[in-house]
Amino acid sequence: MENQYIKLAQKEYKDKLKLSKSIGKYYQDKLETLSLKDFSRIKTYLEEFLPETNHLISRNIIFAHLDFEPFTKFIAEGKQFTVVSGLNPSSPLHLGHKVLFDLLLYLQKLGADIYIPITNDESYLDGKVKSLTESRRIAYEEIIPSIIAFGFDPKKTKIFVMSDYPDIYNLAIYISKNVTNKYVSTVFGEDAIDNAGKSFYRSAIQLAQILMPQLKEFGGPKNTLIPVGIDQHPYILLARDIAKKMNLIPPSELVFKFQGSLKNPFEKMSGSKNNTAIYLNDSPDIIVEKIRKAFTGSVSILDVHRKLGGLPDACSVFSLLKFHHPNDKFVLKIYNQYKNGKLTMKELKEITTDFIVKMITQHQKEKAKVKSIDKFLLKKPLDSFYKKI
Amino acid sequence: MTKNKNLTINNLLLNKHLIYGALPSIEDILNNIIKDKFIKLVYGETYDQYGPTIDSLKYYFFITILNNLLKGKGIKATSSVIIGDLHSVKNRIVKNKSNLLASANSRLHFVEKIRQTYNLNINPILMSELFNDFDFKQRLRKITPIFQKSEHLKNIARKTVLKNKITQEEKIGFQYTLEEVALITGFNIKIGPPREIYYDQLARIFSKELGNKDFFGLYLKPTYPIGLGFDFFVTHPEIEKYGITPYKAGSNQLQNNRIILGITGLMECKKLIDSSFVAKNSSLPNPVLDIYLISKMAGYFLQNKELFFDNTVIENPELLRKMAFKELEQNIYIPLNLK
Repeated sequence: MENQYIKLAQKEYKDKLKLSKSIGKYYQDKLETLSLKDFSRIKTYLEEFLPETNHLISRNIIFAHLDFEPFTKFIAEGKQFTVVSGLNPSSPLHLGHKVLFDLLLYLQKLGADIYIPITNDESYLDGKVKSLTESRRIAYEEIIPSIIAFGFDPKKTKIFVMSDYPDIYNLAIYISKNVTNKYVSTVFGEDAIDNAGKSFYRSAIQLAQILMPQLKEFGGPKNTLIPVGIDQHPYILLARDIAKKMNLIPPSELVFKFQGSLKNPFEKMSGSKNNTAIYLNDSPDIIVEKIRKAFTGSVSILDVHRKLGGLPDACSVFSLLKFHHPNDKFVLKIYNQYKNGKLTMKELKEITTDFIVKMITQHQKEKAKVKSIDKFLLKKPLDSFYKKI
Repeated sequence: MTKNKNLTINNLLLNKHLIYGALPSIEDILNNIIKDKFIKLVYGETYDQYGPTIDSLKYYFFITILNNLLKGKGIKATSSVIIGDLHSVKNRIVKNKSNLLASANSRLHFVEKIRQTYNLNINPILMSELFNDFDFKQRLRKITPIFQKSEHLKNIARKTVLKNKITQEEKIGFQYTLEEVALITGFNIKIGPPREIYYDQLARIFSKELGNKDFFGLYLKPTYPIGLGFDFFVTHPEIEKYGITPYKAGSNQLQNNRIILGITGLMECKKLIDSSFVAKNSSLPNPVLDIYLISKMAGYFLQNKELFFDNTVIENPELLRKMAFKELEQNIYIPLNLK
């Protein structure tokens, strides 16, 4: 009987090993199939002049780019540059969102002026919220205070909730004349544009968010960096093509790996699936419970784990440390100890839970201190293109 | 190279600052060298209207050091520096072809001056002279039909030319490439920049066909333009990977970012060194390091002292700039009477 359990644990290890390899291969394949450039080359140059790089860079969480090269010069010379990246307010922020905001905050420290569109129109069109009112509530009560709590500089941060910034729709109308329906369906597929609103959103509104900083109101054409998850790549390609048609500078792309779901490291952490995500408003008890039930890279028999080791690259628990713990040396030490079986799953969960609870509790304290969001909101009227429509 | 009196072939060929790699490998060269009694080394270069670069010296110095070490092992060695006069004017975009061809002798005199100043063991020779050589003609006659029948060989030859010139070269049966290959198969080890690997792949294949000894390619680290920021290399991945042509000052139209002997003044060199990207990471381009290495090798020949590349200098960007300039002035500009 004992032997049978050991055999099962060995099979479990093999399955998880396969999963671990397929995660690595997934990103490598994406680099090739989407003709993205490997970020490691840029990373080597950044290390030449940055006193320290962010953990998202050192751990290769940022793994690909398209035309990031000019930004290395802006960063080296301390010049201001522009970054646009938003999110869909269908749920409170979770740790997957935090990866993006950690990156935006780091870029801001390096000189970026940050534009954050909160795409509540998209949440509504995609059926992720019941009404625009609900998505507005989540945006103003949960998301924007949470973003501010990360520590963004109000002078260099411009947040706008799409449905409350109607000028952007005028810009979208102006842009839409350059985009054919056929092009949009080729890029996104018919399913992604199965109603008129989605079609307008994907063909023009999203492009308006990306291209807006190049309007006269914001100083005219400029290099713009768009940090995205790999699934957003088609938007960037479309935006680059349309920018060229409009005599604007094609936006650059910085691609980061997604924070894996708590249930399956091969899937993205999703706000609409409660059990897959740790939200930034979760209580310590809930966090403890979620991590306790998370998918791990370890096998269920301790002796087999000690012998074969864990698989940190296929472990939803370790990935929480990898994506969020700021100390490279510590994370590497845990990685090695877990991989060679010295650190048990139980110990890893305790270390991770302790860290995540402290981090989120601290975030909630900072969020509670946010009393006004006004100075972060973009209100500038957009009218430079009016004569053209 | 460490500070010791026993500079060996091994530590020369394994020097990470100088050596890029080899065809088929450094290990193969090292294994083969000890079996041989006679080795013919060769380095070939073309030139342009902008004048001789300091980067050519790296190859003259290196080939001599290797030659001397081989002799120290009891191996008879020759070192030829081929001046590619005929091939310098083959490119369609080259203007004043007759002037350039006529300047072959002044180029030869320049190499001769370097040879005498540093007491180098090199034999400069014009390509046009070698083309009249019976053995060369014989080799070219033998390899041409083999090449014309083989799509595999043509595929390699295509890699020796720029993409926009492939059609033109196809039309003339890759004549330039075949002449080059016929020429170098008369030697055993060719020293050159990494970009020349495809010529050497063909040369290895043809050496077997001709029943010659094994042919090897040995590549020094690429040459990079000087006086440019890191952003230039970030935005030019091709140059980052292969560098520019060491012996052509106008390579990639970067003649203003080269040290051209007799043209670039010493103070201009200082400006170029001071404004240049100096990487701490040895995998990144470091043109100032190259100036330091070339100038140190020059000093080695002038003073007959140990060849020593100081790591405390190499690892400190500001010290490297300072020492590169100092060694350049003392070991190259003053001895060659340049200003």
